[in-house]
Amino acid sequence: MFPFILKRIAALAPVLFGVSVAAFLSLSLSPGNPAEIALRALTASETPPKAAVMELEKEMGLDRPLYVQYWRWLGRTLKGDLGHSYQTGQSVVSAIGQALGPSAQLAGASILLALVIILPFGALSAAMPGSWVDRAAMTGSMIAVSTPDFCVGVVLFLVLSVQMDLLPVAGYGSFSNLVLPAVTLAVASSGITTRLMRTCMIQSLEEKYVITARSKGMGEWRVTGLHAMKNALPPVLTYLGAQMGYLFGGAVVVESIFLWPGLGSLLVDAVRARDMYVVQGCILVIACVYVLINLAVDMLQVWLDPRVREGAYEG
Amino acid sequence: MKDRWKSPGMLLGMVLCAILVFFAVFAPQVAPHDPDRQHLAHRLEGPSAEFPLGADKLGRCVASRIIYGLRPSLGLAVTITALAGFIGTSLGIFAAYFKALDALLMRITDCFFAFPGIVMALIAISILGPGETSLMIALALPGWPKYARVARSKALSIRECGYVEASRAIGAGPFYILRHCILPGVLPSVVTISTLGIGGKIIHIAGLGFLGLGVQPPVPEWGTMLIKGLPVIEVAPHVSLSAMAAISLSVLAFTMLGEGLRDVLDPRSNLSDWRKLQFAS
Repeated sequence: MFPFILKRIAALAPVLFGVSVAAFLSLSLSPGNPAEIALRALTASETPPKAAVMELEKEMGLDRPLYVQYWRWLGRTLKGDLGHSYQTGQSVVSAIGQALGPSAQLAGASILLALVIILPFGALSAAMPGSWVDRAAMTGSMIAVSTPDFCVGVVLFLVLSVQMDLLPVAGYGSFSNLVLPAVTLAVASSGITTRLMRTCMIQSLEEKYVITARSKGMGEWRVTGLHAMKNALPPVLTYLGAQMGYLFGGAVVVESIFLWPGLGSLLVDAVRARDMYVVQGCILVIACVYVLINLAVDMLQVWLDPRVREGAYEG
Repeated sequence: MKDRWKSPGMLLGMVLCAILVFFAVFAPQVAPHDPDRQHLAHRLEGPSAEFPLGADKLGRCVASRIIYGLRPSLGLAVTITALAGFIGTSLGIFAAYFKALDALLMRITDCFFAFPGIVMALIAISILGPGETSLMIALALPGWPKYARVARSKALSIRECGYVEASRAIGAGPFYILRHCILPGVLPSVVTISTLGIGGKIIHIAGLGFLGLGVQPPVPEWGTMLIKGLPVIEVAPHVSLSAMAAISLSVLAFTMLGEGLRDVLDPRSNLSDWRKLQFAS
């Protein structure tokens, strides 16, 4: 088990290196001279003096070759210095720190809700293929697959907030604010996963241990719900883990609709204003969270499924 | 094999896709009005005989804008998918054939998989600024690794086949083998995921339009129409609802066609590829 985990962690190094290069490049490739932009904010004038710009460039090391700049940037980043926002002057680290909580809340709530949809529907439609439950679940999941999350969000918003006035339109703070975005993301992400669950359950119901369990006289509910489901879960969990990583930073549009102050909103606002230090910080954090969640899911996989340890996993 | 062609889902998907392409190509003939013309007397009016889907805040015909909106959505989605598919497939089969490239390419794709697709698109747009060209780059960039992975894994198994060995024995060069022995075996999977990928691209194009970072107004575009309809959704829900229906219907069409194609062309597609397949789109 340990060699597997060590191998998996070692495989992270090139990914994290790639991510850091991408984040660094996003700043140095973006148009505009960071020294000039910084001075513009400092002196509150549109055209800061050339000499001052040159001096600051030197101070910031912008006249050095790219790899030297990368090295210095990496040093600063590892010390936790990601620069300051052009727009608000707030440090990027604290801006991201504020956004992490809401993002984690939303991603966690959405995945839990998604599980509530996926497990029963996926298992039932696999246990009774061709039945009305199966057909309803598969039609529903087809619709969910082809409806973008923001469309689900707008429909829920229209029905529950505007028409029925049950929930607040947008914002952050109370539990009722969480309901709309979380349900939206849960519905949107349950589409594919319900079908995956169904496929895995069907495969697992054909296994010999299911026949054994039945021949022992075990009830159908226990066979399906316990023996078959336990073996159908690993791929579904892997997929949901990736989904959770995705929701952490990729729920951009839904966060914007419901004014949810998470990483996605922070990133979109920064991209709109071309606030590159914030963009860079968001990229780093989103990628790292994504990678770490996937690592955690793989660990969970090892714990759940001993076969993975034997090397069935390939990088 | 033959029965799979008859799956109703795939037929429906094919018919829908054909209709969508027809409307996109013949938009000027099919659309009831000029999509940019403002009929100020009909502002925010609901559906009627003259305006089948009503009019928007500026009095423009929603139906015409939806039909013209097919052009950026389908056009860009197909172009982006073709671009990503071409780059990814070429790199993937090269990596499978030339072992020296393989490890490097796989590490690079690993890095790409560390970002949700939309986040990578946003990074590209923040550097390039919004617009159609940057939209194309922004969506092709996170798209190609998926094709590279699939093409590579297919090519690796084909490589070991007897006929490839035989071609090599009679003196075929690597490029001949890649083109004539390996590519034909890889294409079915690539065609399948491309068709499914077009749906994903349509969603991303609309999403970026929704955020104001995609196709810029006044070009009619569904995501932009959806967000512009939101402030008036209580009095004129038809604007946003039409845009949403257009997005979902076209994604549904390509998803059904793609899934049908998968059953026909690639029936034993591997479950373990799911994570990689779905997330880079």
